[in-house]
This record gives sequence, structure tokens and C-alpha cells, in this order.
Amino acid sequence: MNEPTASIDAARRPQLIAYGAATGVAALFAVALLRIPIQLSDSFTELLSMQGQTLSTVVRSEIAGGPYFRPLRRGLIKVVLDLSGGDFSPWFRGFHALEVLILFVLFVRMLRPRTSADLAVVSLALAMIAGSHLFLDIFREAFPINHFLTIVICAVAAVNLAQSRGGWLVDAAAVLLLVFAMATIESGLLVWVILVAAWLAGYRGISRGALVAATLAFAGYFALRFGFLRGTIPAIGERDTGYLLTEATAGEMRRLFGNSPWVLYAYNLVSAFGCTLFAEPRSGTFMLTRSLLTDEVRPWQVLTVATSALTTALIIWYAATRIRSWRPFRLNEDDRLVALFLVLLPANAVFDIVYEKDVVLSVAGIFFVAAAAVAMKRLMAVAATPPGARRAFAYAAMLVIACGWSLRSIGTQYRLREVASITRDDWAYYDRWAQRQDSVTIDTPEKKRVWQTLYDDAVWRRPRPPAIDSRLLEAWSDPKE
Amino acid sequence: MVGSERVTAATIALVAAPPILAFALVAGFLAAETLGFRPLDAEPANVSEASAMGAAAAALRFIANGSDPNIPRVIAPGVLGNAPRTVNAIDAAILGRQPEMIQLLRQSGATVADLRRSQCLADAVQFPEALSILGIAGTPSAVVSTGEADDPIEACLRDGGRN
Repeated sequence: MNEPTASIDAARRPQLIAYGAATGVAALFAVALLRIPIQLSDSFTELLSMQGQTLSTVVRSEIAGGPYFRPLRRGLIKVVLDLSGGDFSPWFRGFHALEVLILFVLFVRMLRPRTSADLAVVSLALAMIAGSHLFLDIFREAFPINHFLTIVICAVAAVNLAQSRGGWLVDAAAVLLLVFAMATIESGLLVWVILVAAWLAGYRGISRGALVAATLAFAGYFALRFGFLRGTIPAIGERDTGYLLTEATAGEMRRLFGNSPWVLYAYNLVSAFGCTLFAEPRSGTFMLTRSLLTDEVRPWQVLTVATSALTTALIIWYAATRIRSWRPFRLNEDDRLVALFLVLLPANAVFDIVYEKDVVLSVAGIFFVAAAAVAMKRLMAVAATPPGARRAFAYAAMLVIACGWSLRSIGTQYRLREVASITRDDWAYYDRWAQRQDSVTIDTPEKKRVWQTLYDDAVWRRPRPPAIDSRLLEAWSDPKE
Repeated sequence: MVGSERVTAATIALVAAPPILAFALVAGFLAAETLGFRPLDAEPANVSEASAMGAAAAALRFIANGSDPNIPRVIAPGVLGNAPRTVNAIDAAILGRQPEMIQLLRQSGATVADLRRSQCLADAVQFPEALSILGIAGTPSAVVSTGEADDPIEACLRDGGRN
């Protein structure tokens, strides 16, 4: 009588352990995130601008022409702002931590761990997310809600829906998820790419009818934004971005590429591929190359590029050994995740062509991790072959990749502690910051209350986490310079 | 994930151990802090140290808790080079080359106790911006020169910038 139950429990044990690991790692991030006050730049001004406005006013004000279309981005901030009841820091930072937890749990669910080997791969995958250069800003920054993180969650949720058994609820959720993501930021359009790619790869959780509805919503987005609202795409030179060995200002970019934007688009597209696969260039600048030329290479640069490049080599090796067996609609579970990465990499890179920003590539980044997890499991099987050069090489690759990403994950935690101090000091220097702003005015009691609460939180109420002195961590942790 | 391929316990350990160890290290560090231990502690011990480091929020907290920024305090070795320095908060900010901190300290009640010494220190660390912030830009340099082997900062502190 008990045998079937026991076997079900045995099958579920790896899943439960994996979810436990995801929750544990998310808890580490929660501690770090809750210690960071709400940022002065980007966040404070956002909260100020929403004083005295209703949710519908906030959302409607964003439905307009122009280079960006993000009505729900500010809408979500407004919802959390209203829920906070004036207790901003715990609510916004708590929301950030909650989003990290949701991402980790959904990601683990997407990997569907069933064996001990899967569990090993899950732990490595969590370290990869925690240590990836593409996720640094997802953890370090909030505006005061990190919408890039929101979109990564939507992307992973879309795969989860596609992996499900389906039904009208799943169909409805898929379409709603797409609409929500598209209305949050532009890269939310990638959810449509995921839904279609997942179906082509063989996932059948989402019906054809729902795919058609999603495609109509996708087309409707363009009709609304570029047809009805007469929106535009961001122009060159709206933001600073890197180019070759330098960081160019917005003005320099306009001067360099104002007449030949396609050169910049092509450069940024290639840069986005390089950034995702090799961690070089970073935000458009070939930082390791520059450091090599000036003889100022830092250990973290070598670590970041080496682990990313070696992991990319692992994925390429996996794809090369499997691609001949790939047939449309008939990929196995592991191959589907790798195929999704191969589709998402160029699709996500397109969103980076006007200006380079590592965090914009975080959707490709999460599928990079999934593909790496699948490839690593395959490598573990190779390591089980009889002793020889092949096996030795597999062991060496596993060790270097696992240690490299683990070190990077520690580095992220170290930098989060640093951000907690820097953000407090930014608030302590508020007067100087305010002098440099053209549009920040605290002219109502409500705005004064927002300022006072955030300032007190940062400077007085919540002491910073103890600073730590470690040359080792300083040298090996990515500062995202 | 597809789980048909054979994998040895050694490979599982090889892949799983580094990330588990990394997360355990971070968790252990946080637990130690919660219990009151301060591994690798680099927290400023007083308002002068905070000023030298540019830890603005920490400096404000010291002052709010009753610490007088005008009283010289010991800055531990490692913060401003290898030698300890005993200076007040503004001189510490000069030595730490923290221009914004100097302004913040003045807003918080810190004063320049000895103008010549502050000028001497600013010259010694080649930080002329401090002089303009303190409103003494353009006055002749007061760096004390007592020989090549002498520490110019120590000479400023010892002689108060007087030749």
C-alpha cells in the first residue's frame, strides 16, 4: 500500500531539495537587499513624482507617444507605494527580495530536477544566477522596482506555463503575462518570442488558440505604440554607452554615429552577443582588452571572462553533439532549454542595439544559465566514462566552472554590502545632490514626508551592514566599473 | 531534466560542492555577524576614521550620538597609509581626500581648528580642492620640509604647518 507513496516521495525529494536550495539562496539575497536603503537617484524622484496622483493617472500618463512605452512599470511602483502606507524601505526592498525568490523558484521549476545529478546542476545554476554579470544590476539596483527583474520572471514564468499540462487557465495566464510584460518595458516583447519558440521546440502547455491570441496582442502592441500613439524608438545619444575601448557620452555617440546609426546598431548587436557569452565587452566597452593594453588587469576581470567563456564553450559543445538529432517539435526536455537560449540570445540582443546595458540582456542571461545547466549535466555523464584524457578534461572543466561561478556569487554578495554603504552616503550628501538637479523640488508636505522618511531610513534608522576589509574579495569581485 | 545518463557520485560532488560551500560561507558570515562577531571588520571606530573613509552616513551618526568632530581622534593604521594619525574630522577628510565630506562636516558643526595645519595637510597630500572648500585657496603653501626622510603629514601634525 505504501510503496507507490514512497516512490512518489522519492521522486519528489530532489524537487523539494532544489526548491529548498532556491529558497535558501533567495534568503541570502533577501538579507542583503533589505539592508540597502531606497536609492536616491531614480527611486526617490520616482516616488516624489507620484505624490498626489492616482494609479490610473500614473498609468495613463505613460500611454503616450515617444521613445518608450512603459505604462505598467510606474503602475507597479504606484501599487507598492500605496500598499506601503509610507513605510517605503521595507515594502520596496521586501518586494525586491520577493521577486528574487519568485525568480529562483520558477527557475528551478523550469529545470525540473529529478535526480541527484540534477540537484548538483541546480546548485551550480543558482550560483551562476547569483554571480552573473548580467544580473549584477538586477540585484544592485531598484528604481525602486527593478523592472528588468520583473521581465526575467515573466520570461521564466512563460516557460513554466509552456511546460505545464495546459488548459484554459494556462492559456489565459500566458496571454495576460505577455500583455503585462509588454506594458512594463520593451523587452517584455520577448515573452512572445518565448511562447512561440517553446511551442516550436515541442512544449504543448499553451494551445494554438492561445498562441494566436498572444500573436494578436503582440501585433496590437505595435499598432498601438507606433500607429495610434505615433511612438518612436530611442534615438542614438539618449544615454551614455561604451564603444570599443572607451565609455562614450551621449553627445559623443551622437557625433560619432548620428549620420550612420547602423554602424552603432551592428556594433551593439555584436557587443550584446559578446557580453552574454564571454562577459566581454561590458556595456559596450572592451574592458579586459583595455586593461590588458594598459597592463592593469584585475583578477575579477579574468575570472569573469574566463568562467563565461568556458561555460559558453560547454554550451557550444553540447549543442554540437546534439544538434543533428534535433527535429522541429520533437526535442527532448534538455534540448528544448538549449534551443530556447539559442533563440533568445539574438532576440534579446536586438533590445540592446541603441545603447549597451548589461542588465538588458538578463533574459538571454537566464536562458544562458539554463543551457549551461543542461550542458553541465551532459559533461557529468562524460566524466563517468573510463579514465583517459576525455575524462580528465571533463573533470577539469567541471571544477573550473563550478569554482569560478561560486567565487563570482560570493563577489556579488560582497558588492551588495558595498552598495548598502554607498546608498547611505548618497543620502548623507543629499544637499549636494539636490543642487545638481534641475527638476527636484520638495514643495509640498507630502513630498517633504517622503524625503524625510527615506533620509531617516538611510542615515539614522537603519545602520549599514558592517564594512568588511578583504583584499581578496576586493580583487576578485566584479565592481561593475 | 532528462535523467537517463549515468553520473558518478564524484562528479556530483565536484559540481555541487563549490556552490554549496560558497553559499554556506556567505550564510556563515551573516550568522557570525548576527551573533556579534565581526570578521574582516572595517567599520570606522570614530568620526575621524569615518571622515577619512568618506563614510558620510556613519560620520553623521557618530556626531548625532554625541561625538565632537573637532576633537582629534586616532585613525588606525591602514586607513590613511600604514601609520596611525590623530586628527580631527575635517583634517581626516582632507587626508582622505574627501571634498564632499569636508562640506558635510562643516554643515554638521565641525570647524577648522588650525587653518595653517589644515592647509599644510592639504598641500602634503596634494589636495588643493580642500583649500578652496575651506576658503583658504591662494595662500602660500605651508608644507613643512624637514628633510627627505621626514613624513610631511607627520610634520604638519607635529608643527601645525609652521616652518
